Amino acid sequence: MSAYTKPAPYTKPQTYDGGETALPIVAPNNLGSTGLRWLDADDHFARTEFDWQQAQASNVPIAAPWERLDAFSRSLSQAWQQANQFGFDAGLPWSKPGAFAAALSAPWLQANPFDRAAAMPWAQFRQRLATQTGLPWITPDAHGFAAALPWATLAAYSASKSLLWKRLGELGAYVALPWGTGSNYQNGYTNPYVNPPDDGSALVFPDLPVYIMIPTITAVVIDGGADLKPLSVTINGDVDSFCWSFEMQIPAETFAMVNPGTADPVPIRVTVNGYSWAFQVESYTDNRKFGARGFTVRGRGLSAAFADAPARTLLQGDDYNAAQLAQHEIDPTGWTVIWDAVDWLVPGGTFSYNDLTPIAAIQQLASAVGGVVISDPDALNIRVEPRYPNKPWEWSSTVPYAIVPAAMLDAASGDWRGGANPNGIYVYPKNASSGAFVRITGSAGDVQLPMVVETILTDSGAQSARGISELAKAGKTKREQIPIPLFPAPATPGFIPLQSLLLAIDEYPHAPFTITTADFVIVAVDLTQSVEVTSAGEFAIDDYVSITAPNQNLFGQITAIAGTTITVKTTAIFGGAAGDTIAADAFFTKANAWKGQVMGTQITGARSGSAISVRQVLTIERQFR
Amino acid sequence: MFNPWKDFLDQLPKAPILVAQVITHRADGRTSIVEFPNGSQAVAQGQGVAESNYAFIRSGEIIGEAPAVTPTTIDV
Repeated sequence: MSAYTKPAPYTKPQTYDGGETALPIVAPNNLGSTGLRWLDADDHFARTEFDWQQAQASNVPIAAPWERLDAFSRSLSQAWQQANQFGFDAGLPWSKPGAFAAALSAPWLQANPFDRAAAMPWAQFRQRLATQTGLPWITPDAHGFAAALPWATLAAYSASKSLLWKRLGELGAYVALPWGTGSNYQNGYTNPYVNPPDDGSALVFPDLPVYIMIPTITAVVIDGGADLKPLSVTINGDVDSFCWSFEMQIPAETFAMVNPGTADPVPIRVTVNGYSWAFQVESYTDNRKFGARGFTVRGRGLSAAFADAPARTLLQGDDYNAAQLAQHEIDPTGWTVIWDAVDWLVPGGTFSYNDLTPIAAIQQLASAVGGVVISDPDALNIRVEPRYPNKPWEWSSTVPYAIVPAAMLDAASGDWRGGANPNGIYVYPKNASSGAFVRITGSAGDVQLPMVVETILTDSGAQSARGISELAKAGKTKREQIPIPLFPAPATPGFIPLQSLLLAIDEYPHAPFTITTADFVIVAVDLTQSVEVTSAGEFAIDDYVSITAPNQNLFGQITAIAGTTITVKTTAIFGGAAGDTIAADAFFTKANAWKGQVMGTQITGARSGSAISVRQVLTIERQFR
Repeated sequence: MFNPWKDFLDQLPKAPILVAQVITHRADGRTSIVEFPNGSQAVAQGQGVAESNYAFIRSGEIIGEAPAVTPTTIDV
């Protein structure tokens, strides 16, 4: 039996025995970016206790990125918190109970998916990446359709990088968001507020210090809906053109879809802030330089097909109304002529032409009664309208389509045209015996235009309409070009239809007649509210005034002046209750109010990176009679 | 935008057709004195329309006979 040999005491081979040399500790310098150093630290821990100590010490910088990430995460969620509060505090249009509730129930509301993502720490990287590169990080969930896309980018940008929303809220901003009624696309929800009942009164655009729009531009091929990825688009329309026209820059990769080539023009649909136009692409130019290639495509509205149709010759032997004659020109294409001008019976054998296209024939009928031919932007309708739906000499008493506050008129350019302001004209038919002398009511008819002789003007109603048009056209005019926002519906102002009569509450060039009030009293708070100011000055009854008070701008019309007290009927309800005193800094400025008819519209949209700008420039004709 | 083409057309001289009553044929055998509906008179080239009848006139020239018209005044 062998002697018991006591086994050697177990020693952990890793134990430091005093003779070893500890591996040199290299301070980690790239711990945040690679996991390799963590492996090194483990080894040291196993072998030496010093190593561990040192590893601990070197751990501190490792924790730093996480600290920063936490902070980043907090700041992100805080920003969203602020954005939410902004929605409640600032009185944005979508915080109105109905509309707001509707928006909240929409499944694609941006804030919800963002909140969920923000709770996941690793998602921060994706978000950070997204905010830095401008890529939307949850596009598939959040967006059912392309129009909402820019919102994600902008919202993330504003939430993470600035307190834009909060500050704008403090300024009393008016924010028009493009996702008002889009939910219909996903859950069948229909916004009941899209078409409010029209009581015939003027639209009043909100008068606020700041207007914010989140614009959208899309362009698709109507057949199939392929996205053309427009870079910029310009849309033009005016009362003297029978269709809308456009010019659009698109990238090279989408050009093939609309290349006019040898085929028929390709119909496309361009949508700017929710307002859509149907066009056909008729021509293009291309630009190529090092590293870039772009195409500019141009075209007109779909009704341009009637101008390209073969010319025809016609003798209409039967009696027809003018509206019927116009409709005959475009039957049976599915298009409709909506004849809003004076209609009259054209005797058989009177309406005849040779070598006219369908649209030229309609224009001949329309111009006989001084009408204009225009097309709907995105519907198969051709409209024949009187050039001046309201007689210019009655504009002062006509209810305008909309009232534009001075705050929106941040730029304008005018062009004085002059004119004679005639008041009488003879309008004769060519082959009938019933002529008319058309005279402005109350005038002597002594300033006359050259007479008009037109074959088909056989009816006194038609002669009268032609006379009105000729007298109105020859008025003393000034053309104003004003840019105003094109807000997505239902925010106003949206797209202003051609021929609308606008009332602009403009500023005086030299801002005369300003009263600064120490305080004034609200007399009553309802739609016919009045405001009193204890000073009078150079004001007169019916003058328009702009009222600038802390946090609120208003405008109204003076209804009474008694001593030093002016009573103003405002166009919107002033915040506050009857009897309230509004103190300090409020002042009344006499406004330069004028009316004019929209004769032309230019809508431009441009994209630069993820930023989009949209403008609507109206050409308005004022008359001085 | 205003329509520049329309603006351009408005600048061009026009030769509208007018209606006037022939008052007398002048002794020169080539011209007539005509009276427009507002009472103003002018000399027009041609004697193709009988005196006291109505004529179409374009650019100072009688181009044909027009129906007799008695205008009614319409206040607008």
